[in-house]
Amino acid sequence: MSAAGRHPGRAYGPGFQTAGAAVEFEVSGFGLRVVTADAPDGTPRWSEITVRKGGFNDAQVMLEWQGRAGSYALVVSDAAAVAALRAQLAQSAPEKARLRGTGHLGADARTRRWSHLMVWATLLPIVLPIVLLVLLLAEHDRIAAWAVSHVPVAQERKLGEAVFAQAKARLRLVDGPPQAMVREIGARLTRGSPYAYEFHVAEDATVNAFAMPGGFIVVHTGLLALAGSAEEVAGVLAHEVQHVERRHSLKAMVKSAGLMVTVSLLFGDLGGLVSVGQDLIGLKFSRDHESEADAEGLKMLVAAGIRPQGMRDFFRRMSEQEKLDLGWLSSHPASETRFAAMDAALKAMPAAAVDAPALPYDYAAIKAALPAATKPAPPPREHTK
Amino acid sequence: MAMDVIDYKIYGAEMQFVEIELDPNEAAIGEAGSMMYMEDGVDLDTIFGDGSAQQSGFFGKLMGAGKRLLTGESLFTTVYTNKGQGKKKVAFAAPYPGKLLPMDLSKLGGALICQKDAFLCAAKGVSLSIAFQKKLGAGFFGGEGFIMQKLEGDGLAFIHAGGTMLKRDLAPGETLRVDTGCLVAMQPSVDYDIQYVGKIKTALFGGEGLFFAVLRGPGTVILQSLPFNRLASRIFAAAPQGAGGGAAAGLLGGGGGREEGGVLGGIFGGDDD
Repeated sequence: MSAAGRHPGRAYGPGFQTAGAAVEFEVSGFGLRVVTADAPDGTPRWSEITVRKGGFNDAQVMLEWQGRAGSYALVVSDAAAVAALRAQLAQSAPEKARLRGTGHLGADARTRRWSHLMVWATLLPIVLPIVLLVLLLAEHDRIAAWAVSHVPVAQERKLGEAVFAQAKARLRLVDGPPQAMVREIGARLTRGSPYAYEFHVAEDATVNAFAMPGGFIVVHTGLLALAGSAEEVAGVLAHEVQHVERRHSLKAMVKSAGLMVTVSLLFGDLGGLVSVGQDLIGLKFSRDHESEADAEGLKMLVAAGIRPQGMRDFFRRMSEQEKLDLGWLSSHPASETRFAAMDAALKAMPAAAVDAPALPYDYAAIKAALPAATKPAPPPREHTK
Repeated sequence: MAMDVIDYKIYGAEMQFVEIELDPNEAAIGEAGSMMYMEDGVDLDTIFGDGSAQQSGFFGKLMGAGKRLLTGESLFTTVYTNKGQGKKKVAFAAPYPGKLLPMDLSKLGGALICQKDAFLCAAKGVSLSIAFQKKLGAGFFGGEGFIMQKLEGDGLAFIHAGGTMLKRDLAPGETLRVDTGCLVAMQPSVDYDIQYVGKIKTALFGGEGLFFAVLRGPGTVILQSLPFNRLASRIFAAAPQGAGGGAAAGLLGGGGGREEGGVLGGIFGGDDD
């Protein structure tokens, strides 16, 4: 019914119904012509017309102009009509062809500022925890490392005390010359450390030694029985001391127990970790941690003026034992490899550093003082470490 | 699409109902639960969707129903058809104190954006759909929420809102600042946005909140004087507290679940003031 070039729209303004009147319009190079039974004044030219998006959700095109009787508006929502209008505008008034919502109300800076503020105030309590959680998950390793490095020594000590108190119940600590020797060598190794170390010997036939956070180190009598010299024991001690110095326990806790530990580290609440620390005695260090403890342990021995070959020798002994004994070794890199790595490190060291006086202990006598139950090498069955 | 032309009469002053006269085979659709009475010969049928011819096929109907759920309407629409001889009447009642307003969609250009829940009944053929508010500011603080209703067609539709209704035709460029929550309906040609009240002192102590809703012509807008949740909160505040409080809270809190939603209800449900 509409003639060619005529498009439907809705006109508002003086002379039209107040709720708008359905009209047809034509566009030309000159401007706009509204075809209607009502009598609007004039045919506005493009220079007089403002074109914008408007209405609910800016979903319509509004053509607005001033007539003699007042302001007029033509609202176009028909898709074909909008397309025709745009095509004509591109020719006749290119500067108006880019239909923009004026956003005249939203452009009010204070309204915008306040509404943004209110929207954020509403959303932030919901969004912030999610962002933090995502950040924590994504950057878990880095955050954990940072948190571990910021735990004070005193805190770590408290954690160690709690763990050691639990472990004590299961250990049969022994006194005597072996314990005195272990303590003395330990003291020599750890001189100047921020940690207050405690060295203990526990009666247990398995070849094992372990470190707890804060500086609690326990050596099994089985290990002392296997070792051939005081230097070998010193090598094991240096290794364990490095676990403490490098905070491997805390790092391993973070790794095994994950997020919860990180969060409690971040908030400085180590008390809650004691329950996790239950497993700390059985905690397995990663291979990286073991290699690190080996390498740093060697350096520590050299610095303390103890012959570092003892450590290598002990590992050779271990690798010989390897097929029989799985206790201490199960979590450690194959002794063969470690032995090889240590050997290489020792060869790289200057001869003066490697050549230190022997420790002043009669190791045969100390071995003799070990509790009778500890036999030199009965292959143990249990996998406690 | 042929719309049914219906005759009607509105009864009452503050709590109104509308009686619609149906010629043989004419039909009206009503919001579920709003029917008050109907005469012999009026056949009642429940259809999935809104009964407009626009919805074809199963998925079209499903979409329509989903949209109706979002706007707070029920999934089904009830169609009242005069299957008898001669003219028959059916009446629909407003759910709370306020006014009914007949809207002739043909005179409004075929479309009207309404506050959700505003629809009461219409001639068969009027379609109900969602008009999703895309302006964040208006959605959050305009008082109508993000989801509004769109009535489309050429027939007569009845909308309902609280207090007294004002119908106002805005000239091109004319603006009206409105308390948030008072807007009931508008033509799609009306710009709807929010505006900061102007001064921090007014924002805090003026009692109008931080923002006004701003309506800019051209087009027809319909306002209500008393948004229902304002009335509800007054009643709730005046209800005996303490010993009898449990019962009162149960009555209003339980019964008014749709009006007194939680945080999400507040955001999406609109009607905040």
